[in-house]
Amino acid sequence: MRNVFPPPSHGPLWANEPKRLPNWVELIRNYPFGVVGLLVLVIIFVASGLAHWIAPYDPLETNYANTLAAPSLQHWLGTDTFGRDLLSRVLYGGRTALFIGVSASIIGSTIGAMLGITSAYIGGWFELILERFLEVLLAIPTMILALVLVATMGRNLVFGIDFNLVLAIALPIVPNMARIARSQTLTIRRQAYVDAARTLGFSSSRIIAWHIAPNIAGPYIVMVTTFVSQAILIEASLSYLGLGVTAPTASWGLMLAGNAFNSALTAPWIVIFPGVAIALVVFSFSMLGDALRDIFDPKASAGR
Amino acid sequence: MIPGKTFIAGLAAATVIVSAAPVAAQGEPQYGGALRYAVSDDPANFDCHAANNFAVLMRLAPHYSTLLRFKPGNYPEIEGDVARSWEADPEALTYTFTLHPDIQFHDGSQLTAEDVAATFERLAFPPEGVISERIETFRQIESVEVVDELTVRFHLKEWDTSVLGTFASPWNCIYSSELLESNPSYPSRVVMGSGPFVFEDFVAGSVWTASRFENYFREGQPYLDRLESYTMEGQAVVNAIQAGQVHTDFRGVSPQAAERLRTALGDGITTHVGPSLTHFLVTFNSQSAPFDDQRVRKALNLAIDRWGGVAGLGATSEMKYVGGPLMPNGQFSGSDAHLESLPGFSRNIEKAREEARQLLAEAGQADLSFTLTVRDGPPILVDFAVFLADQWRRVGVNAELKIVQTPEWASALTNSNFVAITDIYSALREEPTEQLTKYISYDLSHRSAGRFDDPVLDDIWARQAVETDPRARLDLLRKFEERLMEQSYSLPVVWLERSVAMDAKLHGWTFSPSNFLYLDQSGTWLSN
Repeated sequence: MRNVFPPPSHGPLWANEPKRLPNWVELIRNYPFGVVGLLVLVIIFVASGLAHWIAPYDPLETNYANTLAAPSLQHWLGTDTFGRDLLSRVLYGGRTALFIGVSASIIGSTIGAMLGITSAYIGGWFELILERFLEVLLAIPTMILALVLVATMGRNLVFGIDFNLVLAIALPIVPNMARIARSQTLTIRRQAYVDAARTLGFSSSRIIAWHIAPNIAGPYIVMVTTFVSQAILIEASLSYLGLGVTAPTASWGLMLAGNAFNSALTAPWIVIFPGVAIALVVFSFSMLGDALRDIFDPKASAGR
Repeated sequence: MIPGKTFIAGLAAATVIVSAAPVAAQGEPQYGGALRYAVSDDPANFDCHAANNFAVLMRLAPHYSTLLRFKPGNYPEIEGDVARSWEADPEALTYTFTLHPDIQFHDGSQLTAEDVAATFERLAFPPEGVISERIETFRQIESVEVVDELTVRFHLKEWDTSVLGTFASPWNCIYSSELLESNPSYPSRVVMGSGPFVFEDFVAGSVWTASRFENYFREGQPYLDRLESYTMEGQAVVNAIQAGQVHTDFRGVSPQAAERLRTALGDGITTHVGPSLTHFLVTFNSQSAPFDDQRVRKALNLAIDRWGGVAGLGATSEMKYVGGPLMPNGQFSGSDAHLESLPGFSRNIEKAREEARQLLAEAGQADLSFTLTVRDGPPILVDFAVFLADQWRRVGVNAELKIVQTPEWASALTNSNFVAITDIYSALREEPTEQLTKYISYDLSHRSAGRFDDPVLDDIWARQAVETDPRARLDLLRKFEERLMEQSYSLPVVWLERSVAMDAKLHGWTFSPSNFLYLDQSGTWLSN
């Protein structure tokens, strides 16, 4: 008679379960591009944050005896038309891009989320008017809207940062975020727990703050990362057009402006490195945003 | 050899024409075609007498005649334009001009001595509401007399040879006396002269068009059928030349852009390169603190390493020469040794900066911080401001750049609404009396933006203008430079090189150190 049962195990039952991988390995396996994006961003954040200590030169320090020098041991990325060290300017330029990009994205997304949630929750005339206004903003191309705002508002320096520039970049983000927050809120407000909170007599502001807003944190984080790359691109474009960051501040967009294109024929490094920096950050934020979306909303990515 | 000839010979040697096609091979002028060129800005109004912007003159010059003109192909020689001949009488303090007969305005009316007289009276003694931008250049004109239909006589207060250049200035467009009588401000709205081209249309921000004037008084000219000038600047100009959308930008392009065009187009491009009568300066507002203190102004002057800056920036931009208020290596400039003895021109920059720090400390401005107003436009304007801010940073001064559009910049300059401002000055020709109007008291010249009052400087300027002994005049000019740089109201910093790249099919245009000359396009033609 054949014994159909397997021989008794010598250890506990769970010892035969497949070995569970650590979370970070699973993360890398499931979202490799997102992790790469995150790593690149961490490196860039740290390098830019520590620019004061790790940049080999002052980004404003000129050396007219060494203009347009090719990459070398003294100047790893070469020098520009003023003899300024490009590596130092790229590192400091990262601060400008990331500060403006992140702050504009957070400001725009937060205002947009607040408007979207409030309009969906309150509804009625408030929602109708606000939605039409946001639709008008959406109809204007993002870059044109930022361009007009920067040109009309002028400069407003607060601690050396042009606050109006941050606002101009943030404003086009508002209607996009508001639309997403509104659609999420329309679903959430019909949930039983929201009805329960209402039945218990909680105020609207409390319901919004404690029961609705935390439930759109996922899409909010995803959109913030997406809008950061958009904001960095707008900042670079505005600086390139002479409407963004003012010279001689180190800015990736500004490094591509002026006579850079003509100089690039003989000294291509002056446009390659800031260009690569912009592309790298924008691409990294996009990859991270995609990964975060998949994590927060697995259903949406299931079909892909 | 007289200094003037030295200059002309030097200029000819310094002006380089880079072209596959030699000038001699240009051949006989050909008729027809439309000249398309780039202009950096739109004109604010259409009145030559009130304008001060190169972009305005590029649009207006083809529509107007002047009394005299700079001879095409032979700069800086002057010849008659509507004047057929003239007589100078230093004893009687008069200039008498005889006009060409049968000169017509575009409306068909005859141009006579009345029109010339009415034009120069408007320039020298403008009626209320009319702006004469260069009024100080007419200060020696006492009256204008119409002798007969074709003869006009100018009576001067003092004998001043610089006035001949004033008669040849392209800014002094001749207007119709009949129209001026009915409305002295008509030129600000209507473009109607006796030049080689008739105004057709202007689309703001886009294009200005003109067509050949069939009754132009110079026989056989103009050669072109049409002119089309497009509003564009910066990189767009270079791209447009490379793509064949425009033939040129008569103002010029950067050396790197010219090199790029030569590389891309080879024989298809001609490049004219030579010294320019344009220089960059910075002006301090001497009316208010901290620049009402001479020590602060002089300290900022001393901090600028002009020689080092030009050595570096000259490799990649038009900022090529170090000079004072007069064109370097020119007819009226001093020696390098004299230049180096002036505050701000020392080659020992560390010593100069040490003195600058001491002056700032004495003035209680060791941590000086101020706003430098900068005109937005071609990248070189911002590069110049970045250079200045960097130089001042080295003595502990923080200059924050305020980059503004041209109208805001012009308004700041005119209304003295600035702390410090960068500026550009382009002269017509080497003539100290005219060139130094940027550096004398505001009472004497509204082109001087510093709003200072310096009778000593003004007196030197006035004396050199009427000095007939060339040596004595040069001595006065050296004294002017010494006083100016010591007081440092406005600082000449760098002089530019002019580099005009044009389609090799374009001929008959004369290159000169001045951006303002040879813009009427009467002798320009296109080969097939």
